[in-house]
Amino acid sequence: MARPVAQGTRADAFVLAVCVALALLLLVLPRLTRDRFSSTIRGTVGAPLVSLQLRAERSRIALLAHDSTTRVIDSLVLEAMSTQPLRAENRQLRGLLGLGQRLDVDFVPAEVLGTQGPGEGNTVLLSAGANAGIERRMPVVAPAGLVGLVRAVDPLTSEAILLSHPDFRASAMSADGRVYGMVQPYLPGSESLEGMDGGDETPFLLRLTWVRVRDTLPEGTVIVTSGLGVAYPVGIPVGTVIGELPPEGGGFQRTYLLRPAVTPAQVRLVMVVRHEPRDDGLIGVWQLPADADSALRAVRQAADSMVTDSISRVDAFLREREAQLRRADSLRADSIRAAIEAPVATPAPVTPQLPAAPPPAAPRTTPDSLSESSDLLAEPRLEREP
Amino acid sequence: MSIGRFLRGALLFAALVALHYSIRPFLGWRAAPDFLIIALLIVAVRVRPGVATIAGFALGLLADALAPGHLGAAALGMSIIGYSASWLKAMFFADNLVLNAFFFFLGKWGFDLLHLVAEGRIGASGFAMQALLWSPLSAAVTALTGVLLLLLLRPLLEVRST
Repeated sequence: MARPVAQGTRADAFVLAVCVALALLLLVLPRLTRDRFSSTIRGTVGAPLVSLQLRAERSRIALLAHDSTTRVIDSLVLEAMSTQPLRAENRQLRGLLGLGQRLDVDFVPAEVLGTQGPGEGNTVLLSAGANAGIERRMPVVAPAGLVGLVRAVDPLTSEAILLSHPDFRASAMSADGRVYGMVQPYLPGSESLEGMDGGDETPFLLRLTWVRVRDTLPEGTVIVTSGLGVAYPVGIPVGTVIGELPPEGGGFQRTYLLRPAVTPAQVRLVMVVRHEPRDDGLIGVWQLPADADSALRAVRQAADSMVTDSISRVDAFLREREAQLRRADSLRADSIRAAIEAPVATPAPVTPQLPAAPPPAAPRTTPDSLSESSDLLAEPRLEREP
Repeated sequence: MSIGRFLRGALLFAALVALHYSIRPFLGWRAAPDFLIIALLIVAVRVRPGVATIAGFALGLLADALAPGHLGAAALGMSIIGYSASWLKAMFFADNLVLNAFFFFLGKWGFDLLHLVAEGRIGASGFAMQALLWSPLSAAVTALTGVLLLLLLRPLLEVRST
């Protein structure tokens, strides 16, 4: 690398001294002058280098930003994928909440855990069992209507058949109670349910059989349970008439095709109704506007009133306590005054009788009440006391 | 020095300066190689100390203008480093790669120390951290890069390794 050159002379030393002096002069220049000088260099000799530097910086930032942008896009995609099920679940929960507010009978909320096994799409496992009060032959409903019937129960889970199960039958009637019949799954061209699972590919339909010949049902008629059996209370929507099928049984009955109120494959959250045979059944429950938001508002109002009530109780307790302390102070002052005014020969022991001040019966202190209210605000419960 | 050799040297010098302002910002390392020092040292051992001083001053002025800091600090450091490199090389006269690496290392470290002193911005602990940790690291990276460049540009520089 090296080539011998002549050793430094006085001229070289002089150059060094001048350069050092200039550098030191630059160091002590006023800031404005220095900035102006730097700007001049950057705009002339250093312009290509500034451009190079800028491009290199941009390349580096682009490289770093690429990774972070990719990560952001990935996370957004993941989030978008998880948003749709959450929305659906939210919708179902709101529906269940609205239905729970309207139901006048006891019910057990449950989650559909999935089908029992391959080829058993007509049977589902529910996340609540005998321990939660579920028994056999209890109807399973969703915010939209009837889902099925509990077939078997164990302590922690229960098994329910859906509308699409071949054994499913329900006595039903038109919403006005004029026409009666029997609802069962519909299988086009076959009475067997093989390959019919009510899934997404084939729209699942029901049929209303055993309708008297003289009774006709226009399209759009809502069919509800009639309550004639012991399993289903009256008034649970089953489906809507979408047309009439060719007559069966020698023309002595009519058969109608129904679009089910609930698509079994899409049900994730249900309620098992613990009903008792009653005259009114569940008539009107599903006919009310399904306003889950109003139910939520009602829950929040109830929580607010509980909080207000708790605060007023605490307030009253504190006022009473303050009054007691005032009374105690005045008693003590009276006793001391009496002791001072009493004759010296017969000093009487002064024992101010402080009134026992047990905390008044205010069992609901603020934290508990507030926490209860907060719980209520945060997560409204669906269960009801029987 | 023939015109061809001068042109090659000038081209190499410009290329190293360009590398300094393209590779270093792209890498973004705290202890990045200093191509300006490499360019200055390569030139300094081939010219008289006075010329090396002027080259160092010009290079330092450019560096000062393009980097945030005190204008004149890099000019001061590079002037002294250029003069010293030219003077030392004239004295020791060696072409050993390891010696050259050490030369680069010393040049970069010395420049950083001069720059830090001239700037005088950081406190005692910051100065120690910079002078004893980051500057030696940067000097080592610069030395490694300088040796690699010498190996790559051997035909151009006519380096005779021993």
